Amino acid sequence: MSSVQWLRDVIPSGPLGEITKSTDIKVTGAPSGSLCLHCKGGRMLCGKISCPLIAKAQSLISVNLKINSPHIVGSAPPGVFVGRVGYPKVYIGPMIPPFKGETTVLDTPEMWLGKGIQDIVDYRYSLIRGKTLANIHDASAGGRLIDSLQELAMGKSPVDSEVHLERLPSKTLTLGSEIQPFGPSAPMKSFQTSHVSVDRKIEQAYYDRHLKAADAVLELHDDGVMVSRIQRAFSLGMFGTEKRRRLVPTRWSIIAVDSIIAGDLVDALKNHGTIDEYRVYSFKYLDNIYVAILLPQNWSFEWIEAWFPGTAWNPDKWSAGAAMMGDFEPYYGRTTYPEVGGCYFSCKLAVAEQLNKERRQASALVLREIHPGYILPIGVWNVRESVREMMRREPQKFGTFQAALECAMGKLTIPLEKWVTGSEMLRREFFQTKITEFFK
Amino acid sequence: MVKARMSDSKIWKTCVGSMVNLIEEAAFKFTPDGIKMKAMDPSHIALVDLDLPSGAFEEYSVKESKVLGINLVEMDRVLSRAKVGDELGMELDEKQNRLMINFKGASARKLSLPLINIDERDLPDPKIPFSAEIDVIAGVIQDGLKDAELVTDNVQFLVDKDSFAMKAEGDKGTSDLKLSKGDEALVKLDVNQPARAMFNINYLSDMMKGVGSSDVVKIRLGSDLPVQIDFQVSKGRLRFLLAPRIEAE
Repeated sequence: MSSVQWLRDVIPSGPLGEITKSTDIKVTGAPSGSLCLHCKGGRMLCGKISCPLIAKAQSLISVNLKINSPHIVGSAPPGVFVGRVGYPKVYIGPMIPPFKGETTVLDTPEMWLGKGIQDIVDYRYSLIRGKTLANIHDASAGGRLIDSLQELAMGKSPVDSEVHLERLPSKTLTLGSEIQPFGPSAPMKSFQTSHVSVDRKIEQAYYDRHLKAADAVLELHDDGVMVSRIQRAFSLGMFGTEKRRRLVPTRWSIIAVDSIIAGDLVDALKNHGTIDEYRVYSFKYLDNIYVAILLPQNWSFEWIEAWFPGTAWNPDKWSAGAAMMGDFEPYYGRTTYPEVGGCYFSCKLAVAEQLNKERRQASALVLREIHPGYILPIGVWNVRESVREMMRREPQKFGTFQAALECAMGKLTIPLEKWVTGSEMLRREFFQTKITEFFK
Repeated sequence: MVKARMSDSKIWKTCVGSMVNLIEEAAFKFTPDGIKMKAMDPSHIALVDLDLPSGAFEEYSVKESKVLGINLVEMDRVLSRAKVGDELGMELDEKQNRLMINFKGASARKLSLPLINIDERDLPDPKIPFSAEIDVIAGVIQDGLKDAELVTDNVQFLVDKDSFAMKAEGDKGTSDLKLSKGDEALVKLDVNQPARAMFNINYLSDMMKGVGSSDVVKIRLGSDLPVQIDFQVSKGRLRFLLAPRIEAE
């Protein structure tokens, strides 16, 4: 760990600059020879159009302005976290900003679409985490802390909270642009909230000790409870039959909930007829281009991401081209975990949700180009909410696959040949004949 | 009344086991002459065609034709409960809208399956001008598929008057299997015209999953035409047609 002089130098002067001089920001994760150390946020060696580290540092500093004691008082959005390091013994705790007010947005990704990266990083860094070690089985065993965290997780509006930390929260900045922003944290001595007004639907599922976790998730989603709320309660092991309740690391719970809901939506849409035409949807956000092609066929699904040189998962800005990753599922689904990871389920959820609204099925190919303006990955919510927004929009409709494909390619920068190499669905469409063609 | 009984449950189990990976729901036609079922997989790439005459059963009585919609996944599960050598009985319970499945061996056991509604669609018998007939031991094809699977998603079937071959080529390497006239595993090779066609390995593997490795399969091929694969089941047959993949050179 070291403090970095250059960071202080590049942060704009004024009150922010003044504070940096007296704030000791610790930096971790910088391998010797790291590009960041050479670049100092000025030369854009990584190829991004602005420096993700400075974005994080600015947030961190502006939050720090408000933290001057280990006693934090603020309105929890409400938020909770469950870490994954050390599983099955993990850090858990509340997430509380050092200020009061209407803080719902800080932990509600459903409200983030359209915000800039800096806003989102600000939301993340403004939540201070008070950490306590817990065993995953504590979810069913209970205890004073777990009980109050579980109550907090059911909250439907900001709650006045107080956290006593053992020391000032660490202001650690992790170098490397692929690290998702996470706010300051410190071991926690105690934590109190004022009365939490809980979401009745989540509470009901919580008290139902015979309801399976997956069924609870589905019922709540059907009832219109936000996915982020379901995930929050899920991570604290609040669903499931009595003895099977476990704490679930936040990251895993996001994937689990997306995957449970997506799977159920896909089962449901298979009861409907296919769409009548080829469709193209598109949406741009934070230098990401999303394009979906829907084919009038039975359900199948493919999600392909292309990370351009200079983005988080393709950091070498001199690399030959976009790095492509994708996964396909035929009608009956996959038997293996998708290589692209959790965003596969977020995208599938968003597509299946829209098809179910229309009571239709289709084969869906969703493509995403990630350009260097996407300076740091901000979480799978970005995929879920962007694809949802895209699917809400009016599609362009076509009578032939060729016409739809031409339209889709006009919205993307990577040429068709590249997509074909990476896409099972495109290859099937181009090369795989159908048995019905031989019925004559 | 719909009632059928066969002395070895394995025959029916093999049929269902071979189909279940391609189609999860099927409409079986129980006619006075036997059981028939024809269906396409959801992607319309493969066709399954089962023809099991009444003679394949020890006891078979169907007065008038009936279509029974069955969830094959559930039926496969039920059949997995059969012990080796168990006798199998199937009987329609019209009141309950269920199919009763009876196993008779060390004890008499009964399981029942709810019937489901399936839109019945009459599918034609495609007339495909095959140019080659190959009868081969199933285990050889299964091995060829496992080899090919290591390198890519698709495999080529090639046939000329002296040999049958399976070839695959991908980023991860190549695989090649060859059977020549006279090889024991090549039971019959009758070629009017050399042929080659490419197929999806997953589909082929699914079709070959239920069959015993020493059984003989009848393959019909034509250049860039579907492949037809027939298995003999008791006195009937289970047929698969799989549409080819045609890649421009």
